[in-house]
Amino acid sequence: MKRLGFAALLLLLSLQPAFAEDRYIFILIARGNSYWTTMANGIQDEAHSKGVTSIVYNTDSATDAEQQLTICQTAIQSKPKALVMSAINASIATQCFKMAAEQGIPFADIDGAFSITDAQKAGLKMAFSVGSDNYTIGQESAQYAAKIAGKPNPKVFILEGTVGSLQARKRADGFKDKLKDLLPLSDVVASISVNFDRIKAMNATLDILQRQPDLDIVYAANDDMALGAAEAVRTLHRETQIKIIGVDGTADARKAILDGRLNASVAQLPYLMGKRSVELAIDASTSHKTGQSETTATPVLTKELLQSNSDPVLQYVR
Amino acid sequence: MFARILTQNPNRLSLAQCLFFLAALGVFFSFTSPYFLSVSNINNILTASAVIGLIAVGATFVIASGHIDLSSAAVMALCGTVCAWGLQKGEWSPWIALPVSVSLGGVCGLVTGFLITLTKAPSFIVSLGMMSIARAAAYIVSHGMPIYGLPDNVITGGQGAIASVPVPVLLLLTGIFLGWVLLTQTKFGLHALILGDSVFAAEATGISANRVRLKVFGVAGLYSGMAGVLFMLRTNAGDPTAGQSYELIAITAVILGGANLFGGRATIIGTMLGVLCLGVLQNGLNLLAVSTYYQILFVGMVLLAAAFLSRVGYRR
Repeated sequence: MKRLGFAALLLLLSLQPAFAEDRYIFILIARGNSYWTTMANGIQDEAHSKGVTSIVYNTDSATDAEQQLTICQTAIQSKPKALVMSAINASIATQCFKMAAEQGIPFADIDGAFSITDAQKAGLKMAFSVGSDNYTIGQESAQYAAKIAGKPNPKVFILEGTVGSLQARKRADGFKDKLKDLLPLSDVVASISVNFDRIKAMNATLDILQRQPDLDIVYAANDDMALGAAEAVRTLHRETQIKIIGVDGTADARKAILDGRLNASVAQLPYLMGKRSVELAIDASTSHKTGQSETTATPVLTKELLQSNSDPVLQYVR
Repeated sequence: MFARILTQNPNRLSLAQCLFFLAALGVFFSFTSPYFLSVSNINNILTASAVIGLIAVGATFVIASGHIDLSSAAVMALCGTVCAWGLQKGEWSPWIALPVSVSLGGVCGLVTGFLITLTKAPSFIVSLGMMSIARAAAYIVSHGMPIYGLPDNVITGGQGAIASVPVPVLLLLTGIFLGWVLLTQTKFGLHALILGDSVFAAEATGISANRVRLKVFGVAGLYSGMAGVLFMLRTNAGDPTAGQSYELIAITAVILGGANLFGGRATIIGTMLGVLCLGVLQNGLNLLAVSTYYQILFVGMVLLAAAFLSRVGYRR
């Protein structure tokens, strides 16, 4: 039924070519996830202020690549002015963007999973890529972990994202590599994938704490998992012992940082990415420029930074 | 003698198989991890199994009556989201928010049951429709974002313990007891099983199939509502994406516990053994820090082994 409803929606979209000329289409990932919802808000706010029509689609889950390809195929039928996508994987990006190129529709990446270099390797001239580097995010998280560890040999537990997710892998790899550089004696006691899911992260943290009661740091590849870990730590009253670092800088995570439940979150500024993607898409649709790469800032949000509100980039933290 | 007693009753045989399977997992993990058999880890397994356990108890009634409910996880997400919305945004008292949210699950279940009765459509399709509606409603209520940060007194209560037993475990045990009473000690439970065995036989004996169906889905909805509230209490958030594919895990647990997927045979104890098998497996693999790829492989292999074991009984 859910699929039928979704198919009907796509059918409606494909049956409205008359409205196609002013629309910019954005294809994002999992609906209901704070990160993608914030990005969609940035897109819609900027489109509204520029007076253009933006249509945002989300997949049902972070792994439904086929659904994303179907959305792309149908979106191309409606001949948008530009197509911007955060691809679930490189194969989907290549297929979707090839179809857009054949139709002469400017296409671009949002969130940085499919870079300009990736596009060039696939023989595609992509208009732009706006996003943050997930490997760098992992490295920044490790730098902060090393700073707050308080010892040269901390025991670290890593909560990875969905198996097969490019972003999740880069964040975990960046963290592990940098941590080994900074604290060679650190011990990663486990690195488990819990699909970016809050309660699975909570259960996995409780399980690991049975085996490793002297755990020092939990690094979660997104804030939902970090918040799950925080609830596990709170249940066991170990808030002072275990430090937790997340990624994304969502509203929930910021609240938890201010409440002292999370130590930090490396923010990705999805709102700014959404906003910039609209500006760049409008530009690409008129100038037909290609190859522009823009990396958004990834500030490490801590209680001190949030309270002082001193960094101008914080205005984009939503 | 013992073997004969077991094999004469399919329910007992299934229970014995499931118990054997659970024991095998327990022995394996207790030898491979020194932390597995500790009291705190057992509490841990039970706590982690509580949400799925409540959904699975509800699913037991539905499967016993020969139906399938695919909406249970989405209804759970809706109830948890509404409860969190009420507590945080609506400033409802917990004494209102919690019962209203659990009742909402019951209402969703009754609507599903009513629509099955009205349209005579397969429960698979009708509950798929309800799954979509409930999930959409959860997104609408929450504006697509988890509602995080609930009142401290509610969370402290939900995440606390009474006499060293975690509150989620107490809720699960209460749900199991009520489910056991309903299924084995009331006419309603008997009628649900007869309906699952044969609709014609049920109607021939004067049982109103429509009424039983309505009650079965209502009960399952109430259990989804309880699971939703528990999920919210554990995670300190009303999450509209909560429990994706939990309905399938719950159905798997019910079938692992010896229920017949086509109705007529199911037990609450069996279901709980099925839930515990899945919980123990996940906990044990985490304790051993098995890499994610191998965890997925092990879960698949263990489920296949359980399916094979259950077929041994059917061959007799």
